[in-house]
Amino acid sequence: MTTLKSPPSRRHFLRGTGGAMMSLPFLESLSVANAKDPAEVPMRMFCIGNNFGYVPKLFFPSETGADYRMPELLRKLEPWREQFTIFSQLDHGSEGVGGHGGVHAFLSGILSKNSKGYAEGNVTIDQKAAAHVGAQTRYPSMQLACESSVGNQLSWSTSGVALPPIEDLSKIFAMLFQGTDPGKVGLLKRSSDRRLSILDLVKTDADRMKGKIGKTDREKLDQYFTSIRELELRLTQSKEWYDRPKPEVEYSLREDADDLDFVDRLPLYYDLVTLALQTDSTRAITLEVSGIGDNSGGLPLTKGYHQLTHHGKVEGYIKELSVIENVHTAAFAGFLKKASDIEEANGKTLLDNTMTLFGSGMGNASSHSNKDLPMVLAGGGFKHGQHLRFEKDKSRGTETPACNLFVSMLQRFGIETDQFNTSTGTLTGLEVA
Amino acid sequence: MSRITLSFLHLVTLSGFLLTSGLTRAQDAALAPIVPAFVEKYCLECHDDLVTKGDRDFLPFLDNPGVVDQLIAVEEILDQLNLGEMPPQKKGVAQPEDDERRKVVDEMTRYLLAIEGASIPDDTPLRRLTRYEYKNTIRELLGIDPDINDATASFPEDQKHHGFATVGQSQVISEHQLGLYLNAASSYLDQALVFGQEKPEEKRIEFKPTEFSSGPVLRGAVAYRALAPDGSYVDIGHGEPADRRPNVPKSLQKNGVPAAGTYRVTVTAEAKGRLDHGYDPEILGIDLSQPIKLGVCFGESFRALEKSTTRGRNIIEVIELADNQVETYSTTAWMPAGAVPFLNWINGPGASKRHVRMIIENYHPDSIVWTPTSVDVRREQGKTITDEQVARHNAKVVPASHVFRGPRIRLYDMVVEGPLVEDWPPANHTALVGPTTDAKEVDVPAAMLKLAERAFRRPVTEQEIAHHIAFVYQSIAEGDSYKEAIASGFSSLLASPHFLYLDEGDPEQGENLSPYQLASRLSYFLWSTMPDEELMQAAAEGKLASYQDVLTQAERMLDDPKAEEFARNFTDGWLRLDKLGTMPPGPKQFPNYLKRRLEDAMRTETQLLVAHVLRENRPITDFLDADYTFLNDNLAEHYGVPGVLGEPFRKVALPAESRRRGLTGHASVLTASANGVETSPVVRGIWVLESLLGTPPPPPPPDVPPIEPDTRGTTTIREQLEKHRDVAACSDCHAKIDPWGFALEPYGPIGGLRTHYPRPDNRGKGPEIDPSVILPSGQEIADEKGLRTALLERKDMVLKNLIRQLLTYGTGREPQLVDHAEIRKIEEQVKRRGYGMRDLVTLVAASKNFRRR
Repeated sequence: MTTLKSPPSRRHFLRGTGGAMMSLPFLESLSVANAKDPAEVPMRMFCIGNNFGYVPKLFFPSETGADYRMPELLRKLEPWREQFTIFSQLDHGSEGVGGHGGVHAFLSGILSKNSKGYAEGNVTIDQKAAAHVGAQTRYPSMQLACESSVGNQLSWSTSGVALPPIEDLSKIFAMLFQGTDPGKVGLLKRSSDRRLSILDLVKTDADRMKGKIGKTDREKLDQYFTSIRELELRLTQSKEWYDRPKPEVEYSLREDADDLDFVDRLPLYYDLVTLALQTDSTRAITLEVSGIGDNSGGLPLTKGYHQLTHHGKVEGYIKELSVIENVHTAAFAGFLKKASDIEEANGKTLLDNTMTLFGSGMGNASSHSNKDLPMVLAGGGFKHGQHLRFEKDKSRGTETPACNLFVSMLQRFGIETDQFNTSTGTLTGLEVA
Repeated sequence: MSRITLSFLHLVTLSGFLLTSGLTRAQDAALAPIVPAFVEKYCLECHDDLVTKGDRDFLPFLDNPGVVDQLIAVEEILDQLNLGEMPPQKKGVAQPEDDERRKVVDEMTRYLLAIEGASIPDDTPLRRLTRYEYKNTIRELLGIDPDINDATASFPEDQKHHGFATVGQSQVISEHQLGLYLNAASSYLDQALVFGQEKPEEKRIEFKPTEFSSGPVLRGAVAYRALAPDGSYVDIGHGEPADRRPNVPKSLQKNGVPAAGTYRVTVTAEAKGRLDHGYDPEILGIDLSQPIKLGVCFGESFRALEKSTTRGRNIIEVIELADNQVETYSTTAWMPAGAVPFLNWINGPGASKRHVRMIIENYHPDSIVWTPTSVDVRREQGKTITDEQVARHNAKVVPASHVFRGPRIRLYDMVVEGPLVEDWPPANHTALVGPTTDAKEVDVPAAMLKLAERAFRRPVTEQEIAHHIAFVYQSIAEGDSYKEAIASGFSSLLASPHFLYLDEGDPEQGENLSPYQLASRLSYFLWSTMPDEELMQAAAEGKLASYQDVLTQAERMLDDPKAEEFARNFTDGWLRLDKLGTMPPGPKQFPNYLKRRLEDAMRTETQLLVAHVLRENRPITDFLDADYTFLNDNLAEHYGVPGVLGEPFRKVALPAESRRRGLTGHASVLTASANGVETSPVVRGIWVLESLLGTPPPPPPPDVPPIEPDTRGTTTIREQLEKHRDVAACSDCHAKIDPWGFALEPYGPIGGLRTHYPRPDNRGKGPEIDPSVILPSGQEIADEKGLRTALLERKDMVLKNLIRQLLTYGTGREPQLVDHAEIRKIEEQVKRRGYGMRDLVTLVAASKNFRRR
């Protein structure tokens, strides 16, 4: 699967789990991340969300501050405890409540059906980041999923649409690293041109239609115009990338990758994410982890994942559930390891340059609660190593929206803003390192 | 009774309407003082700014009872009085005299009517084709099956408004979706147009048993495929709907069928060993009460079949094989190029490894092969076994499959013939571009105009699409082939807003839809697709204008098979069956859900009931309590209804004591209102209020602690909810919601019957289920039968709810104030005619509301 070559001095390495090693040739033309001016190393954003959350008592530490005892589900993260912060009692308030139907508000703070009153609907942070990056990378953003569920779509555009994630590892790999047959580049460009022409035509149609409809209709049609504009932009941007070769990596994906059990498949997504970030193929990634697939995902379980989340407080079931949840956190730990082992041109690690949010829009699946969401933020150049608990008392106005964390992240990403969806400011207690 | 409670969104819509549209003569309609006096006397104690039960504060109403801003309050109070639920029947709560109540109700009704008459409605928000409407329309326009190589599979989920995807106000479009429209158009056109292609040669490929297996089965294996000693048949002993090792002929695995088209698949087979195996049925672990069913299927590629999922698989036909009797069965299906036809024992045992191994050990010891592992084990136990002994033993072992008598499919032959081509070029190609496969011969402007008229669902002038036609020529000038250029031109029409959105006119044309616009609205209402030629003809000739015209068309349309789309899509939204499959039950807890393909069966039952009630003009009370339903063997088995054999659904009579009478006994509804693991009386209660009674409860206050189920002890969900209800903020609403749901507790998470809750360890019975409840009206009911009776007593509410739901689904907007008088008219007419569903649907279609822009 992974090939190992003796590397030239300017190669950057990343070590995979299980002793496998991924190496990556340094190709200046390809990677802004490795630009000569260290100041040019870009900030990236990576968000991971699962469908059923985590058993709260196994996820949140009892103590706050720096000296907290690592909770059971996060034990695998211990070696990097200085590189992340655990937040508790952060959530989206009433705008994110909906049980299983509330999970998709994880990265926006707002349920799709509640999005009408907000200027940017229920846009998610990764999409704000993507808009900021624009055409600087091959993909403004990527949405990935290790088992997707309609209820847990992580990324939502400003027009209120969920961006469907890509589930096939082989497809993700191909998008990132499989070169386009030079003979086909011409065809692709021609096809883009055709599409751009079609957009011109239908814009004319829509212009004519506009004069013949009522006022409420015009608002609806405006969405169509916006879609045309945005699609034009996307086609034009991606056209520029057709001629640029994709980065070469010495990582080869197992042929049967997509048929593997959940336990073996999940780390591979993190491998590809690491490579995507390292090669600066994109700077905003979401990874949805919803189910564990068939065959109990290769784990010794007596019930299904969803069924186990309805554990009714029976200890045996909570234990089995924690087996699954530990697979989630262990794979995340694997990413922390790899990303903190990779040094980038600014002398910092890939993790320092990637704000990584790990958690869920589900607070407690056993009670279908979307309150007190599990959230861990790693890397991104923040001061970490602590457990921050936010006091909650709505009557005294001391509730902190999770969107405040998102404002802090967006600012750190380089976006000048003091507001995101339901935020009331930046997050107190989270400082830039 | 419609607006007992209003969601936040609804409130915004209505007050928004009041502000923007204005009410011309609102001041003329004054509310008599008896109403505020009544409210002050009977309602204020619980509904002021201090107590505010159910989030209702009537002080602003009392301050200013006559202003339009308070219309919602008036409607709500009226609904509650009509319902008889307020003031609540509690100790210490003053009750008005009947006469007093009636006078107030009359005055409020009069007042609302006066206001409604004076109101100016909003336009219907522009609405886009839903995903299923888009697909159906593509099917009509291009003459292809859009479900195969489904280019809409990656479309984002349609945003729904209370279950309906047809409501413009809730719809969104994005660049992502627009890009997918372009992809879909080009992919479907690629299927529809055959420029430059020769008539494909019809081939007949015969697959001998050796295509499926090369030898006998020696021991228990996941897939049991045993070739007969003389090679004349292959025995297949494994399989289930999502089987990972389906039976694909070897030579088809790589490339599939050579060209897209209709193929005939013929199999010769029999069922063996179903009833005459002679083994301990415990070991077999298979339910053999059904005949052995052979699924003739195809996958869009061989790769799609390598996963344990039914995605990417199409069942062409399920054949019930005769026992010990060889027969030949034939079926046809359209398949795309590269499709892989395959066979599957669809109600089989899944993997065959465990039971075959046990049968060999128990019944056929002579067939046990000494494997290297088993030899090592014996050697470790101290037995001396030489390699020669092993070889000698294994040489004389009778292959297991020569002696195995267990249930299996014996397949003699499979023949695939096709593509079966009648006309060349195919009729749908000819319909689009004329009878030529040479793209250069196509009359481009004529073909573009023809497609535009059908796609835009109205007459189109050449001038109007001149830029689209010019684009075709421009593409050719830039070096595209004629074929590419024509496909691009067609794609551009299929991405136009004239195609993607329903044209519902502008304010200048007045209050009503034009005949063509009405043709589309009718067609998408009853068929979920574009109008047919007869509708367009009627529109052109001015025969789609009067009330009678519309009634005539609606009657004709309901007799068309395309009306099945109504039974599917309206039902999905009305009963929230769109939720089926979003939280599928776990295969461990409910193995039959997948194995017996229950999800499809459940949905089919409910759709067939709706279709039947509609077709036969049965009263809508059949939805609440019917002495019949529609079952096939799988669903009947799930329900425990005896005597229903075979795959096809048929009407089955239900005795009075049956618990499957009416929608509240349908597994579809019961599954969609649970979460695949456990039931929730709250969710089911809300379902009854929303889908049947039309009185949705308000959303919970934002900061209520949710209930975390605790199943360790013996507390039931009833006891836990009672605790929840002790919280004052919860009790008012839950007292209205929960009782309806508790009465449905005897139905499990996928609608199976039960008397006790399961114990968490699955050992023995948990606490007993008590379905008896007191409804908010004070009425006591004992069980789900009592629930049905209570619902029947409220059939007028159900009727009114259905009218509103039909109007919302059909027009793409919630009924507005101006519609209320007409809704009452429809209600009266339908009641007079005996509550018939067909009357209801046609009267809705012909109503003023429906024809309004």
